[in-house]
Amino acid sequence: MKGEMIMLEFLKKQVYRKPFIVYALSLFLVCTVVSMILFQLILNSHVDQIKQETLEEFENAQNSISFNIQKIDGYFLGLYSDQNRMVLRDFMRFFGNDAETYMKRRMEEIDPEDTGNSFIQDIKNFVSSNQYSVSQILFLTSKNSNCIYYESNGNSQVKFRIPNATATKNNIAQGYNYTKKISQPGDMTITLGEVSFLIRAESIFGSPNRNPIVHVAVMSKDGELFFDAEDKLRQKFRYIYNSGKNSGKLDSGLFRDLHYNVYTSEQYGFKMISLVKSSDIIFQNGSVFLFVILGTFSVFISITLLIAMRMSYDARYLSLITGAIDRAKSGKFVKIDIKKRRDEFGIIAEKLNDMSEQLEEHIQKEYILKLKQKEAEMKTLQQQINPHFLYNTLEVIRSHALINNDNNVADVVYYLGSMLHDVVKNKDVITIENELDMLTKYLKIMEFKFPDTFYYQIDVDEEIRAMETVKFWMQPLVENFFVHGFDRSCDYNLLLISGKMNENKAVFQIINNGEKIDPERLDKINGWFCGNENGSSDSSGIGLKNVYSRLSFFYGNRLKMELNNNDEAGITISITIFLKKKDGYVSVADRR
Amino acid sequence: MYRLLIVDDEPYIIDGVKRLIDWSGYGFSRVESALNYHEAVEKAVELKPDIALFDVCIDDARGYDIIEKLNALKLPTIYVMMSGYDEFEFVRKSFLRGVKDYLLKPIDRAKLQQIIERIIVEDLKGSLEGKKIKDKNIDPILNIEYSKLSNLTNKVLLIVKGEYHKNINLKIIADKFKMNSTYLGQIFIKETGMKFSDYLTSYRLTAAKERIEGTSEKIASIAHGVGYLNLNYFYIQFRDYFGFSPTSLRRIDENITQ
Repeated sequence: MKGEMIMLEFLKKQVYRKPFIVYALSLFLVCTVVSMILFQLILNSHVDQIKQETLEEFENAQNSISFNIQKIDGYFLGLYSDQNRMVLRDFMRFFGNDAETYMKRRMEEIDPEDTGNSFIQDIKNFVSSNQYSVSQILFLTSKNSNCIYYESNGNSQVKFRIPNATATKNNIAQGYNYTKKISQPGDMTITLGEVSFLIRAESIFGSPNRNPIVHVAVMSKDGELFFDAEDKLRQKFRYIYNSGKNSGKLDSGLFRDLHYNVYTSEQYGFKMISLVKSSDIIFQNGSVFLFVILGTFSVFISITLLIAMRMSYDARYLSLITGAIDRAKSGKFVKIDIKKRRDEFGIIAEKLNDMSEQLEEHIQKEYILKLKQKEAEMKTLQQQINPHFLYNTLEVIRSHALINNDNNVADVVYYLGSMLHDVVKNKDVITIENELDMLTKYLKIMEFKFPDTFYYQIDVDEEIRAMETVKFWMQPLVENFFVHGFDRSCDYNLLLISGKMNENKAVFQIINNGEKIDPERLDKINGWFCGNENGSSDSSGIGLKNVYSRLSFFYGNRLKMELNNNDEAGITISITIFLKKKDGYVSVADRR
Repeated sequence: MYRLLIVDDEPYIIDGVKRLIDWSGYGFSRVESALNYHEAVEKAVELKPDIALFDVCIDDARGYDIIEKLNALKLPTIYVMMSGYDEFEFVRKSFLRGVKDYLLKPIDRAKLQQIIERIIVEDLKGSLEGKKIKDKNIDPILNIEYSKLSNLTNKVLLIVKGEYHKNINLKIIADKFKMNSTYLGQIFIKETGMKFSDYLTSYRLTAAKERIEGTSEKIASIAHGVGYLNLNYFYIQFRDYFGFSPTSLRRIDENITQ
């Protein structure tokens, strides 16, 4: 089960799913067509075989009739010969006369003791020698008829003087009628009448080892002979007989079509028709057809499995490659096990391995090295300036100020020391509250620097204060105001910091009343905030860019930053942070 | 009255801490200091302080080690650490010795006040009443400490106090700051809980009342002096605000003096 799951894993890959379905479907189609052709071929061969059998049967029947006719002709030839003069005389007595006349004449003309020359006996001997294939002999004269019946067990019966009307020839169902003209002995030109032999149908037609699914009928214009055929089938036979075709097929649904063959005997005036259902052939040779179907189906299954195995092998390899690419995207470079593949997949994997190696090397060189260097620089700096020395010194200065009752200086020294401490000691990710604390300390220092000329106000919503942010981005933005736009000669320099929660976003505004920025430069700066790197940047630009890049690294695409001139004076820096949707998409930068 | 001991190896810092907050206002009658380990132990035993502020690093010694020694002597002292170091080990060891709090240098004045007030109330079972009233710097109209307001709002109040007798309004002040007057109005309301125009009226009327009560100047001239050009309007507003007319105030005064 599990193996199956792994096996079908490749179906998840677009590259393989479609071709696989196409292969499987077309293979299925081909197998179906092949099996149908095979099916038809086998069916046709059976139909041909049956046709052959029927032909044989037909020829047998014809031969049998001809054989019987020859015998009959031979008999009459013998009868009219000299040796059998006595029998011929007796025949003449019998032919055309009633029983009394026949007996009387017999009594008159021959010795009663001599029974050897009886025609009736003679012809019975003849019929008997032919295994009673003749069932009836009709002696027809212009006036009346005599008739001798034979049963197959040897019993015979003679009837005299049957009216001509009832002594009609029998139809083909009873057998084949062979009629012979009887001429005057000694003068062949005078015809006395006819003798009609009825040759039993079963001795002519009907083959003992006929295929049981084949239905045969013998039909002539005055009769029809069926071998166990239902009414429906009889109608079909009649239809075929009337259509005059020699062979063909009658459609009556899938596998229910009927194959027929017609053999016509012009000489003896009958047609032999054989009829067979396709379904009967299929049932009779079920194992052969089953073998064909199972055979092609198993070919289909095994080829499909082969394709699936090949594809799943490739798909697993492809997964290895895509997996390696994914990991490389997240900065982990993994070597793909090439598994000695020498095809294009192998080449891709190998090139990818090379690429990863080079990239990793490059990153090691460029990035890690630089980081290490920075780290080293920081360490040296920390070793050179002991921060505690700095705080301690500031604390001593503050104490001096307190001793001298200069509270303003004491406070500002405190703010300076505390701000330095925050910058060094705070974690990189802090709350907005912490960030505002640091900013406040800076603003207090600026208030001290510009007494009675600088005013500020901070108004940030409580729920914004709890948000996380990166350390030390507000101060550089505010510092921008003191470097540019701050008017020392003006008594009313103003800075407003507001933070408002607005549905799904937090909007910060840093507003000042200093100088405006000319529109061209404004466009350029706002361009940086939209990711346009073009254009060189001066020192103030670098500060803004740095803040933007740090914030956008932290917030990802949830950050929007904008610079605008105010109507009255100065500029507004707007920073919008869209809140994370609880169950929504989290950008890559957010995960860091 | 309470006793305080400050221990730090830096004499200037000790002096600074002594002046950082108004110790005597909180009821500290004796504030002593020590510069090293031995002095600290001696002074502590002698003084038996209610509160002791300890630096963590006193030369090579550690403040919490001194506290451990003093704990053995079962002194009734509450200890507070102050240090430039926020290393975890220092903080942990200090709290293991039962210190009340750990302050980071530079010491935040407000934080120190908070801790001392808490110790006085919670541990020394004292009260802060004497202290509270003393250093309050409260706006008479808003009844809010000036230190609780932003320096922008303080400036606006200052402008009002300096120019209330002139024709001033929010627009004029906003123009000084080159800012939108509506926005300034919103900031003012948010911080003070009062509309600027209401504040101005209250301030003018309160000032007028004081001058009516404190001087014999004519009411008309006082009204003009606090910024009202229309005397009738002044009378109406005064009565609305205080519930009595300015003249009635004068009459009472005259009655009393007579």
